[in-house]
Amino acid sequence: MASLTVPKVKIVGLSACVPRRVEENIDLPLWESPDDARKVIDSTGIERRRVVEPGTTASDLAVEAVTPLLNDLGWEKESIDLLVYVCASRDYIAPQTACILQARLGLSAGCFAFDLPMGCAGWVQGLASASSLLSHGGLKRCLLINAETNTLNRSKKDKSVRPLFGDAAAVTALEYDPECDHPFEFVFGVDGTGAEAVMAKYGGTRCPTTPEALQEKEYAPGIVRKGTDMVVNGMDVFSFAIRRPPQSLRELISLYDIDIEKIDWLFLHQANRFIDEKIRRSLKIPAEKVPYSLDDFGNVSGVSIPLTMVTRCAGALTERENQCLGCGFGVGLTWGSVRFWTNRIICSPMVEY
Amino acid sequence: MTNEEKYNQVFITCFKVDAAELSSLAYGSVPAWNSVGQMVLVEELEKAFDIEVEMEDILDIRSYAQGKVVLKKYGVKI
Repeated sequence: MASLTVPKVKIVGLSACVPRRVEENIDLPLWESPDDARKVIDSTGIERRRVVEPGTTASDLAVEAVTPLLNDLGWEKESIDLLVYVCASRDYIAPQTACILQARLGLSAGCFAFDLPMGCAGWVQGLASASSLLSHGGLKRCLLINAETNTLNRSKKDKSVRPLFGDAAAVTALEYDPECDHPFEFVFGVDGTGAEAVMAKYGGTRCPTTPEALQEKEYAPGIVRKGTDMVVNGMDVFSFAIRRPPQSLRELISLYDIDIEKIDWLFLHQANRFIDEKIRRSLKIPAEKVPYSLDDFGNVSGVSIPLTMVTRCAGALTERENQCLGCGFGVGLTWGSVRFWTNRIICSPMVEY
Repeated sequence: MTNEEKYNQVFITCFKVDAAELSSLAYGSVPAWNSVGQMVLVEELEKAFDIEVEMEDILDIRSYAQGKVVLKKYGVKI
Protein backbone atom coordinates (compact mmCIF):
# COMPACT_ATOMS: atom_id res chain seq x y z
CA MET A 1 0.00 0.00 0.00
CA ALA A 2 1.34 3.42 -0.97
CA SER A 3 0.20 6.39 1.10
CA LEU A 4 0.48 10.14 0.63
CA THR A 5 -0.36 13.20 2.71
CA VAL A 6 -0.68 16.49 0.84
CA PRO A 7 -0.94 19.70 2.88
CA LYS A 8 -1.66 23.32 1.94
CA VAL A 9 -4.09 22.62 -0.89
CA LYS A 10 -7.87 22.88 -0.92
CA ILE A 11 -10.78 22.18 -3.23
CA VAL A 12 -12.51 25.47 -4.03
CA GLY A 13 -14.98 24.53 -6.73
CA LEU A 14 -16.67 21.83 -8.76
CA SER A 15 -18.61 21.65 -12.01
CA ALA A 16 -19.87 19.01 -14.42
CA CYS A 17 -21.17 18.58 -17.93
CA VAL A 18 -23.11 15.66 -19.43
CA PRO A 19 -24.44 15.08 -22.93
CA ARG A 20 -28.03 16.09 -23.47
CA ARG A 21 -29.02 12.74 -24.97
CA VAL A 22 -30.47 10.24 -22.48
CA GLU A 23 -30.41 6.50 -23.16
CA GLU A 24 -32.90 4.55 -21.03
CA ASN A 25 -31.64 1.06 -20.22
CA ILE A 26 -35.12 -0.45 -20.24
CA ASP A 27 -35.49 0.52 -23.91
CA LEU A 28 -32.22 -0.98 -25.18
CA PRO A 29 -32.65 -3.41 -28.09
CA LEU A 30 -30.31 -5.91 -26.41
CA TRP A 31 -32.57 -7.62 -23.94
CA GLU A 32 -34.14 -11.03 -24.38
CA SER A 33 -37.13 -9.87 -22.34
CA PRO A 34 -38.28 -6.97 -20.13
CA ASP A 35 -37.56 -9.25 -17.16
CA ASP A 36 -33.97 -9.66 -18.39
CA ALA A 37 -33.63 -5.86 -18.53
CA ARG A 38 -35.18 -5.29 -15.12
CA LYS A 39 -32.82 -7.77 -13.45
CA VAL A 40 -29.77 -5.91 -14.72
CA ILE A 41 -31.21 -2.49 -13.92
CA ASP A 42 -32.22 -3.51 -10.40
CA SER A 43 -28.86 -5.10 -9.60
CA THR A 44 -26.70 -2.35 -11.05
CA GLY A 45 -29.04 0.50 -10.10
CA ILE A 46 -28.41 2.09 -13.50
CA GLU A 47 -31.69 3.25 -15.03
CA ARG A 48 -30.33 5.56 -17.71
CA ARG A 49 -27.14 7.12 -19.00
CA ARG A 50 -26.02 10.16 -20.97
CA VAL A 51 -24.55 9.49 -24.39
CA VAL A 52 -22.59 11.87 -26.64
CA GLU A 53 -23.71 12.63 -30.19
CA PRO A 54 -21.32 11.52 -32.94
CA GLY A 55 -18.48 14.01 -33.23
CA THR A 56 -18.53 15.10 -29.60
CA THR A 57 -15.42 14.24 -27.61
CA ALA A 58 -14.66 14.18 -23.90
CA SER A 59 -12.73 17.44 -24.24
CA ASP A 60 -15.86 19.13 -25.66
CA LEU A 61 -17.70 18.20 -22.47
CA ALA A 62 -14.71 19.41 -20.47
CA VAL A 63 -14.78 22.86 -22.08
CA GLU A 64 -18.48 23.20 -21.26
CA ALA A 65 -17.82 22.26 -17.65
CA VAL A 66 -14.88 24.63 -17.21
CA THR A 67 -16.54 27.80 -18.51
CA PRO A 68 -19.23 28.29 -15.82
CA LEU A 69 -16.88 27.26 -13.04
CA LEU A 70 -14.33 29.93 -13.96
CA ASN A 71 -17.12 32.50 -13.99
CA ASP A 72 -18.50 31.37 -10.64
CA LEU A 73 -15.06 31.30 -9.03
CA GLY A 74 -14.15 34.65 -10.53
CA TRP A 75 -10.85 33.19 -11.67
CA GLU A 76 -8.97 34.92 -14.46
CA LYS A 77 -7.77 32.39 -17.03
CA GLU A 78 -4.23 33.73 -16.72
CA SER A 79 -4.22 32.80 -13.03
CA ILE A 80 -4.42 29.06 -13.74
CA ASP A 81 -0.98 27.53 -13.81
CA LEU A 82 -1.79 23.81 -13.69
CA LEU A 83 -4.15 21.84 -15.96
CA VAL A 84 -4.46 18.11 -15.32
CA TYR A 85 -6.66 16.27 -17.80
CA VAL A 86 -7.63 12.78 -16.60
CA CYS A 87 -9.09 10.90 -19.52
CA ALA A 88 -8.64 7.58 -21.30
CA SER A 89 -10.66 8.56 -24.38
CA ARG A 90 -8.25 11.18 -25.70
CA ASP A 91 -9.00 13.30 -28.76
CA TYR A 92 -5.92 12.21 -30.75
CA ILE A 93 -3.04 9.77 -30.39
CA ALA A 94 -0.86 12.89 -30.35
CA PRO A 95 -0.73 15.53 -29.03
CA GLN A 96 -2.03 15.23 -25.51
CA THR A 97 -5.52 16.63 -25.11
CA ALA A 98 -4.41 18.93 -22.28
CA CYS A 99 -2.43 20.94 -24.85
CA ILE A 100 -5.52 21.34 -27.02
CA LEU A 101 -7.56 22.31 -23.98
CA GLN A 102 -5.02 24.96 -22.95
CA ALA A 103 -5.60 26.66 -26.29
CA ARG A 104 -9.39 26.16 -26.39
CA LEU A 105 -9.81 27.46 -22.86
CA GLY A 106 -7.47 30.37 -23.46
CA LEU A 107 -5.18 29.46 -20.58
CA SER A 108 -1.73 30.93 -20.20
CA ALA A 109 1.14 29.58 -22.30
CA GLY A 110 2.97 29.38 -18.98
CA CYS A 111 0.53 26.77 -17.73
CA PHE A 112 1.81 23.29 -16.81
CA ALA A 113 -0.60 21.00 -18.67
CA PHE A 114 -0.63 17.24 -19.07
CA ASP A 115 -2.86 14.20 -19.55
CA LEU A 116 -3.27 11.32 -17.15
CA PRO A 117 -4.85 8.32 -18.91
CA MET A 118 -6.50 6.96 -15.78
CA GLY A 119 -9.84 5.18 -15.58
CA CYS A 120 -12.35 4.65 -12.81
CA ALA A 121 -9.90 5.53 -10.02
CA GLY A 122 -8.96 8.67 -11.95
CA TRP A 123 -10.42 11.30 -9.68
CA VAL A 124 -8.49 10.07 -6.65
CA GLN A 125 -5.31 9.59 -8.69
CA GLY A 126 -5.69 12.93 -10.43
CA LEU A 127 -6.37 14.68 -7.14
CA ALA A 128 -3.20 13.17 -5.68
CA SER A 129 -1.09 14.24 -8.65
CA ALA A 130 -2.52 17.75 -8.93
CA SER A 131 -2.54 18.53 -5.21
CA SER A 132 1.02 17.24 -4.80
CA LEU A 133 2.25 19.66 -7.45
CA LEU A 134 0.33 22.56 -5.91
CA SER A 135 1.49 21.84 -2.38
CA HIS A 136 5.02 23.09 -3.15
CA GLY A 137 3.58 26.59 -3.55
CA GLY A 138 5.10 27.38 -6.93
CA LEU A 139 1.87 26.62 -8.72
CA LYS A 140 -1.18 28.27 -7.19
CA ARG A 141 -4.30 27.30 -9.12
CA CYS A 142 -5.28 24.09 -10.87
CA LEU A 143 -8.11 22.78 -12.98
CA LEU A 144 -8.33 19.04 -12.48
CA ILE A 145 -10.52 17.79 -15.31
CA ASN A 146 -11.98 14.30 -15.41
CA ALA A 147 -13.70 13.48 -18.68
CA GLU A 148 -14.75 10.32 -20.48
CA THR A 149 -16.72 9.25 -23.51
CA ASN A 150 -17.10 5.60 -22.59
CA THR A 151 -19.78 5.02 -25.21
CA LEU A 152 -17.32 5.70 -28.05
CA ASN A 153 -15.12 2.69 -27.40
CA ARG A 154 -17.70 0.21 -26.21
CA SER A 155 -19.87 -1.87 -28.52
CA LYS A 156 -23.50 -0.85 -28.80
CA LYS A 157 -24.23 -4.53 -29.43
CA ASP A 158 -22.64 -5.75 -26.20
CA LYS A 159 -25.19 -6.16 -23.42
CA SER A 160 -22.42 -6.75 -20.90
CA VAL A 161 -21.18 -3.15 -21.21
CA ARG A 162 -23.71 -0.90 -22.95
CA PRO A 163 -26.17 -0.69 -20.02
CA LEU A 164 -23.39 0.23 -17.61
CA PHE A 165 -21.37 3.11 -19.05
CA GLY A 166 -22.11 6.76 -19.77
CA ASP A 167 -20.30 9.92 -20.84
CA ALA A 168 -19.52 12.99 -18.72
CA ALA A 169 -16.92 15.53 -17.64
CA ALA A 170 -16.26 17.23 -14.33
CA VAL A 171 -13.87 19.88 -13.11
CA THR A 172 -12.33 20.18 -9.66
CA ALA A 173 -10.76 23.56 -8.95
CA LEU A 174 -7.82 23.36 -6.55
CA GLU A 175 -5.88 26.14 -4.92
CA TYR A 176 -2.67 26.44 -2.92
CA ASP A 177 -3.41 27.74 0.57
CA PRO A 178 -0.62 27.72 3.18
CA GLU A 179 -3.26 28.29 5.89
CA CYS A 180 -5.33 25.23 4.94
CA ASP A 181 -6.00 23.15 8.09
CA HIS A 182 -6.76 19.80 6.49
CA PRO A 183 -4.38 17.87 4.25
CA PHE A 184 -5.50 15.39 1.62
CA GLU A 185 -4.73 11.86 2.80
CA PHE A 186 -4.44 9.06 0.28
CA VAL A 187 -3.77 5.36 -0.07
CA PHE A 188 -3.27 3.61 -3.41
CA GLY A 189 -2.92 0.17 -4.91
CA VAL A 190 -2.46 -1.59 -8.22
CA ASP A 191 -2.69 -5.17 -9.46
CA GLY A 192 -1.50 -5.47 -13.04
CA THR A 193 -2.16 -9.21 -13.05
CA GLY A 194 -5.77 -8.14 -13.53
CA ALA A 195 -5.01 -5.97 -16.56
CA GLU A 196 -7.20 -8.05 -18.85
CA ALA A 197 -10.26 -7.67 -16.64
CA VAL A 198 -11.02 -4.36 -18.35
CA MET A 199 -9.21 -4.03 -21.65
CA ALA A 200 -9.42 -2.58 -25.14
CA LYS A 201 -6.84 -4.83 -26.71
CA TYR A 202 -6.41 -3.38 -30.20
CA GLY A 203 -5.45 0.13 -31.20
CA GLY A 204 -2.26 0.56 -29.17
CA THR A 205 1.29 -0.39 -30.12
CA ARG A 206 1.18 -3.96 -28.74
CA CYS A 207 -1.79 -4.86 -30.92
CA PRO A 208 -2.19 -2.20 -33.63
CA THR A 209 -5.50 -1.68 -35.34
CA THR A 210 -5.85 -4.11 -38.24
CA PRO A 211 -8.75 -4.75 -40.61
CA GLU A 212 -9.49 -7.89 -38.59
CA ALA A 213 -9.61 -5.88 -35.35
CA LEU A 214 -12.37 -3.77 -36.85
CA GLN A 215 -14.56 -6.76 -37.73
CA GLU A 216 -17.48 -7.44 -35.41
CA LYS A 217 -17.65 -10.90 -33.86
CA GLU A 218 -20.40 -12.52 -31.81
CA TYR A 219 -18.93 -13.94 -28.61
CA ALA A 220 -22.25 -14.96 -27.07
CA PRO A 221 -25.90 -14.08 -27.64
CA GLY A 222 -26.15 -10.32 -27.08
CA ILE A 223 -22.39 -9.85 -27.01
CA VAL A 224 -21.07 -8.57 -30.33
CA ARG A 225 -17.94 -6.42 -30.47
CA LYS A 226 -14.79 -5.47 -32.37
CA GLY A 227 -11.21 -5.97 -31.25
CA THR A 228 -10.94 -2.24 -30.57
CA ASP A 229 -13.93 -2.23 -28.24
CA MET A 230 -13.55 -2.32 -24.47
CA VAL A 231 -14.06 -5.75 -22.95
CA VAL A 232 -15.24 -5.97 -19.37
CA ASN A 233 -14.77 -9.39 -17.83
CA GLY A 234 -17.68 -9.15 -15.44
CA MET A 235 -16.68 -11.77 -12.90
CA ASP A 236 -13.04 -10.63 -12.68
CA VAL A 237 -14.18 -7.05 -12.12
CA PHE A 238 -16.83 -8.15 -9.66
CA SER A 239 -14.32 -10.22 -7.73
CA PHE A 240 -11.90 -7.27 -7.63
CA ALA A 241 -14.54 -4.71 -6.70
CA ILE A 242 -15.87 -6.56 -3.70
CA ARG A 243 -12.38 -7.11 -2.25
CA ARG A 244 -10.06 -4.19 -2.98
CA PRO A 245 -12.14 -1.02 -2.41
CA PRO A 246 -13.36 -1.91 1.08
CA GLN A 247 -9.85 -3.06 1.97
CA SER A 248 -8.44 0.23 0.66
CA LEU A 249 -10.93 2.27 2.68
CA ARG A 250 -10.13 0.28 5.81
CA GLU A 251 -6.42 0.95 5.24
CA LEU A 252 -7.14 4.67 4.89
CA ILE A 253 -9.29 4.73 8.02
CA SER A 254 -6.69 2.85 10.02
CA LEU A 255 -3.60 4.71 8.76
CA TYR A 256 -5.04 8.17 9.36
CA ASP A 257 -7.01 7.22 12.48
CA ILE A 258 -10.30 8.39 10.96
CA ASP A 259 -13.40 8.44 13.13
CA ILE A 260 -15.89 6.99 10.67
CA GLU A 261 -18.84 8.39 12.62
CA LYS A 262 -17.64 11.94 11.94
CA ILE A 263 -17.55 11.47 8.19
CA ASP A 264 -20.16 13.53 6.36
CA TRP A 265 -19.93 11.76 3.01
CA LEU A 266 -18.47 8.65 1.46
CA PHE A 267 -18.17 9.15 -2.30
CA LEU A 268 -17.75 5.81 -4.02
CA HIS A 269 -16.93 5.28 -7.67
CA GLN A 270 -20.31 4.61 -9.23
CA ALA A 271 -19.62 1.07 -10.47
CA ASN A 272 -22.90 -0.53 -9.59
CA ARG A 273 -25.26 -0.28 -6.68
CA PHE A 274 -24.88 -3.88 -5.50
CA ILE A 275 -21.11 -3.52 -5.09
CA ASP A 276 -21.28 -0.03 -3.61
CA GLU A 277 -23.95 -1.03 -1.12
CA LYS A 278 -21.86 -4.01 -0.02
CA ILE A 279 -18.93 -1.64 0.54
CA ARG A 280 -21.10 0.83 2.44
CA ARG A 281 -22.61 -1.81 4.69
CA SER A 282 -19.25 -3.47 5.36
CA LEU A 283 -18.01 -0.10 6.69
CA LYS A 284 -21.27 0.47 8.60
CA ILE A 285 -21.84 3.89 7.06
CA PRO A 286 -25.47 5.11 7.03
CA ALA A 287 -27.16 5.14 3.62
CA GLU A 288 -27.80 8.89 3.73
CA LYS A 289 -24.04 9.54 3.78
CA VAL A 290 -23.36 7.59 0.59
CA PRO A 291 -24.94 9.37 -2.38
CA TYR A 292 -25.52 7.78 -5.78
CA SER A 293 -25.67 9.29 -9.23
CA LEU A 294 -25.41 6.04 -11.17
CA ASP A 295 -29.17 5.76 -11.49
CA ASP A 296 -29.15 8.73 -13.87
CA PHE A 297 -25.64 8.62 -15.33
CA GLY A 298 -24.28 5.06 -15.04
CA ASN A 299 -20.59 4.39 -14.64
CA VAL A 300 -18.75 7.44 -15.97
CA SER A 301 -15.27 6.26 -14.97
CA GLY A 302 -13.20 8.86 -13.10
CA VAL A 303 -15.93 11.46 -13.47
CA SER A 304 -18.28 9.54 -11.21
CA ILE A 305 -17.14 10.98 -7.86
CA PRO A 306 -17.14 14.70 -8.79
CA LEU A 307 -20.36 14.23 -10.80
CA THR A 308 -22.02 12.71 -7.74
CA MET A 309 -20.81 15.61 -5.62
CA VAL A 310 -22.16 18.20 -8.06
CA THR A 311 -25.51 16.56 -8.74
CA ARG A 312 -26.32 15.10 -5.32
CA CYS A 313 -24.54 17.15 -2.65
CA ALA A 314 -24.24 20.69 -3.99
CA GLY A 315 -26.29 22.14 -1.12
CA ALA A 316 -24.10 20.71 1.63
CA LEU A 317 -20.90 21.44 -0.25
CA THR A 318 -21.73 25.10 -0.79
CA GLU A 319 -23.20 25.76 2.67
CA ARG A 320 -20.89 24.11 5.22
CA GLU A 321 -17.71 22.24 5.99
CA ASN A 322 -17.69 18.56 5.03
CA GLN A 323 -15.35 15.76 5.95
CA CYS A 324 -15.38 13.30 3.06
CA LEU A 325 -13.98 9.97 2.02
CA GLY A 326 -13.61 9.00 -1.63
CA CYS A 327 -12.76 5.67 -3.21
CA GLY A 328 -12.11 5.01 -6.88
CA PHE A 329 -11.40 1.62 -8.41
CA GLY A 330 -11.25 0.04 -11.84
CA VAL A 331 -9.19 -0.51 -14.99
CA GLY A 332 -5.60 -1.47 -14.37
CA LEU A 333 -6.56 -2.86 -12.00
CA THR A 334 -6.01 0.15 -9.74
CA TRP A 335 -7.66 1.68 -6.72
CA GLY A 336 -7.25 4.62 -4.41
CA SER A 337 -8.94 6.14 -1.39
CA VAL A 338 -8.75 9.65 0.00
CA ARG A 339 -9.90 11.71 2.95
CA PHE A 340 -10.58 15.28 1.96
CA TRP A 341 -12.40 18.29 3.35
CA THR A 342 -14.48 20.93 1.66
CA ASN A 343 -15.60 24.21 3.16
CA ARG A 344 -18.28 26.26 1.39
CA ILE A 345 -16.99 25.57 -2.08
CA ILE A 346 -18.42 26.76 -5.36
CA CYS A 347 -20.62 24.18 -7.09
CA SER A 348 -21.65 25.32 -10.54
CA PRO A 349 -24.90 23.75 -11.74
CA MET A 350 -24.50 20.77 -14.06
CA VAL A 351 -24.38 21.72 -17.73
CA GLU A 352 -26.04 19.70 -20.52
CA TYR A 353 -24.32 19.81 -23.89
CA MET B 1 -42.41 -23.70 2.39
CA THR B 2 -39.28 -25.47 3.66
CA ASN B 3 -35.83 -23.92 3.44
CA GLU B 4 -34.93 -26.32 0.65
CA GLU B 5 -38.02 -25.37 -1.34
CA LYS B 6 -37.23 -21.68 -0.86
CA TYR B 7 -33.60 -22.26 -1.84
CA ASN B 8 -34.57 -24.18 -4.96
CA GLN B 9 -37.10 -21.57 -5.97
CA VAL B 10 -34.46 -18.83 -5.86
CA PHE B 11 -32.25 -20.71 -8.33
CA ILE B 12 -35.17 -21.69 -10.56
CA THR B 13 -36.37 -18.09 -10.74
CA CYS B 14 -32.94 -16.47 -11.13
CA PHE B 15 -31.65 -18.76 -13.83
CA LYS B 16 -34.87 -20.04 -15.44
CA VAL B 17 -33.94 -23.69 -15.01
CA ASP B 18 -35.92 -26.82 -14.16
CA ALA B 19 -35.67 -28.47 -10.76
CA ALA B 20 -33.97 -31.44 -12.39
CA GLU B 21 -31.03 -29.24 -13.42
CA LEU B 22 -30.36 -27.81 -9.99
CA SER B 23 -27.85 -30.33 -8.70
CA SER B 24 -25.39 -29.62 -11.54
CA LEU B 25 -26.00 -25.88 -11.65
CA ALA B 26 -22.84 -23.73 -11.30
CA TYR B 27 -21.45 -20.36 -12.29
CA GLY B 28 -21.19 -20.28 -16.09
CA SER B 29 -23.16 -23.48 -16.61
CA VAL B 30 -26.11 -21.46 -17.91
CA PRO B 31 -25.89 -18.07 -19.71
CA ALA B 32 -27.88 -16.32 -16.99
CA TRP B 33 -25.35 -17.22 -14.30
CA ASN B 34 -22.82 -14.53 -15.16
CA SER B 35 -21.58 -11.68 -12.97
CA VAL B 36 -24.97 -9.96 -13.05
CA GLY B 37 -26.60 -13.31 -12.32
CA GLN B 38 -24.32 -13.67 -9.32
CA MET B 39 -25.53 -10.34 -7.92
CA VAL B 40 -29.16 -11.23 -8.57
CA LEU B 41 -28.70 -14.63 -6.91
CA VAL B 42 -27.10 -13.16 -3.79
CA GLU B 43 -29.80 -10.50 -3.49
CA GLU B 44 -32.57 -13.09 -3.87
CA LEU B 45 -30.99 -15.41 -1.30
CA GLU B 46 -30.67 -12.50 1.11
CA LYS B 47 -34.34 -11.66 0.66
CA ALA B 48 -35.54 -15.25 0.89
CA PHE B 49 -33.68 -16.00 4.11
CA ASP B 50 -33.49 -12.49 5.60
CA ILE B 51 -29.69 -12.51 5.79
CA GLU B 52 -26.83 -10.27 4.66
CA VAL B 53 -24.15 -12.21 2.81
CA GLU B 54 -20.71 -10.83 3.68
CA MET B 55 -18.33 -9.70 0.92
CA GLU B 56 -15.93 -12.62 1.45
CA ASP B 57 -18.72 -15.15 1.01
CA ILE B 58 -20.29 -13.75 -2.16
CA LEU B 59 -17.87 -15.45 -4.52
CA ASP B 60 -18.02 -18.74 -2.64
CA ILE B 61 -21.58 -19.22 -3.88
CA ARG B 62 -20.28 -20.69 -7.13
CA SER B 63 -22.69 -23.58 -7.46
CA TYR B 64 -26.05 -24.79 -6.23
CA ALA B 65 -24.24 -27.18 -3.87
CA GLN B 66 -21.70 -24.62 -2.56
CA GLY B 67 -24.46 -22.15 -1.88
CA LYS B 68 -25.89 -24.49 0.75
CA VAL B 69 -22.52 -24.61 2.51
CA VAL B 70 -22.28 -20.80 2.56
CA LEU B 71 -25.82 -20.35 3.85
CA LYS B 72 -25.06 -22.73 6.70
CA LYS B 73 -22.67 -20.03 8.04
CA TYR B 74 -25.70 -17.78 8.36
CA GLY B 75 -27.73 -20.34 10.28
CA VAL B 76 -29.75 -21.45 7.27
CA LYS B 77 -29.97 -25.24 7.22
CA ILE B 78 -31.03 -26.77 3.93
